[in-house]
Amino acid sequence: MTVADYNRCVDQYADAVYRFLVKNIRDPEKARDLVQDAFEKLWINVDRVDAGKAKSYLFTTAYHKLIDQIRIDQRNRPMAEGMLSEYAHEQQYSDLKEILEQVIVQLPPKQRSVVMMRDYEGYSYKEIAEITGLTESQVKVYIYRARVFLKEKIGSVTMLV
Amino acid sequence: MIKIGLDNYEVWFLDFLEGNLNKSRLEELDRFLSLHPEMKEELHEMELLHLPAEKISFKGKSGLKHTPADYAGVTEEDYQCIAFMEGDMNRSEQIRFKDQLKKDKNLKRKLHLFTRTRLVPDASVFYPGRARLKKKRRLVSAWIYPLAAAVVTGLAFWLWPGKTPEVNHPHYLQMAVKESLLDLNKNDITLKNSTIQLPAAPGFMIPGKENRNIQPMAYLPRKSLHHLPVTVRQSDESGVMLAETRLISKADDTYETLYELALRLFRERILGEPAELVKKQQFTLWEVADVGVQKLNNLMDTGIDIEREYNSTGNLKKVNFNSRLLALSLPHR
Repeated sequence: MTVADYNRCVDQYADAVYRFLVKNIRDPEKARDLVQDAFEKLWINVDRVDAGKAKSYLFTTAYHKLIDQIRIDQRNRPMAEGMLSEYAHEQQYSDLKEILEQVIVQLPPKQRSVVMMRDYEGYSYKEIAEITGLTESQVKVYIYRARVFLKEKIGSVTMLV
Repeated sequence: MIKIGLDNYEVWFLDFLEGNLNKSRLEELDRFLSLHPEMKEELHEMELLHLPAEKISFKGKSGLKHTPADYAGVTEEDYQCIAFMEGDMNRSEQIRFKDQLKKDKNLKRKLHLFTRTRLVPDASVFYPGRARLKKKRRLVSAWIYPLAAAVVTGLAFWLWPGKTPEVNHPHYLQMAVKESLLDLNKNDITLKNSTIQLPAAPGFMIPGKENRNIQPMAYLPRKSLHHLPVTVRQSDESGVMLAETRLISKADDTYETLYELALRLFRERILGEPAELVKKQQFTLWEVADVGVQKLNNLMDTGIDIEREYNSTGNLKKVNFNSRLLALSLPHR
């Protein structure tokens, strides 16, 4: 991978990786740091990473850093998820996108990540499995369970609205 | 196998019943039975002992099986809807599911809800620091820079003239001036004693390192000298008079000491300042460090910063060093 390839990756994938991270942890500053870390790791290994695999490499790094960050956050703020869940129910939703934004954070981190990779980036089960280190079956199960959870939430919320 | 006889025929009979005898053995068994016809009855009785396979089957087999929906922990209907929207169905399954949709309105509504769970990337979200992520040049191992800095610093200290350097070059005269020989009390400085020698070998010679000749950093033009003055300046702090050896060419009066050469190159090439403005000024260690940090930042895209902090009286109090990994303050004595 050349320097030009690397800089092209910045143009092409920085937003996508940032979007994936910021929608997951809901903290723009931490998401920015994680994006920087992911690209720093790519830069350190620029000679070893093939340009065609760079996006996958970035998402793999970002995903693992994200999971680490979530673990740290959970240790520091064990009630965060529950509070968020209650908060979400009290919101007045204006549209489906907003509903999904509020509901998606209630998913367990792994389910949330795989469904985001699936929808945001259009990754296959196999690709997601490579990125996350899960098996294809696990990825599929996580996605199916996440869909059911989101469907139930959307169904109940849209009925309220 | 042992030959069949009245003492071992049971083994042969068992092998016969289990189909373990080959053609020659079967012929041998036939010969034995023709010799002992009474044994045929016993063989027939042994055949009756064979138990036929029972046709019993477990009726709850289907209850033990699991569907992919069970595996995913979702209902069959949910599974069908998600599999349809995720593209996990083959063609025949899709056709079957579409037929089912036409008949079942609840299923249709459920599928509609599932399709609404698909997340759409938020195009309004951008990574703000994209330009900072970009790199200008290929990465060099991180130890190269500290090593290079150490080498340059080491060379600088080694080459830095503690006193005025003596110049030793075949085309110029070498003048060894000893400070003790200068009369410091007189306004007009006179050289009491000086030695003028022809050089033994080309190259600059550093005081205290006379045995080590270094190739000249820059050659002065090969012109004959007609004048060799000695200028003397007084050190600010110690009061020790320092002598400087200067070379003056006959044609254009060009002269430069090693110290001045280093100063000019530093000012012109590194600081980018016009040499005539700074020719007589000394440069400080602070300037060297400041420029070094700037160059390092440009080279590695780092954000290292050094700054001086002054007290209320305007005296230097401390020097601060800030980087991503390390921040420290060095008090100034």
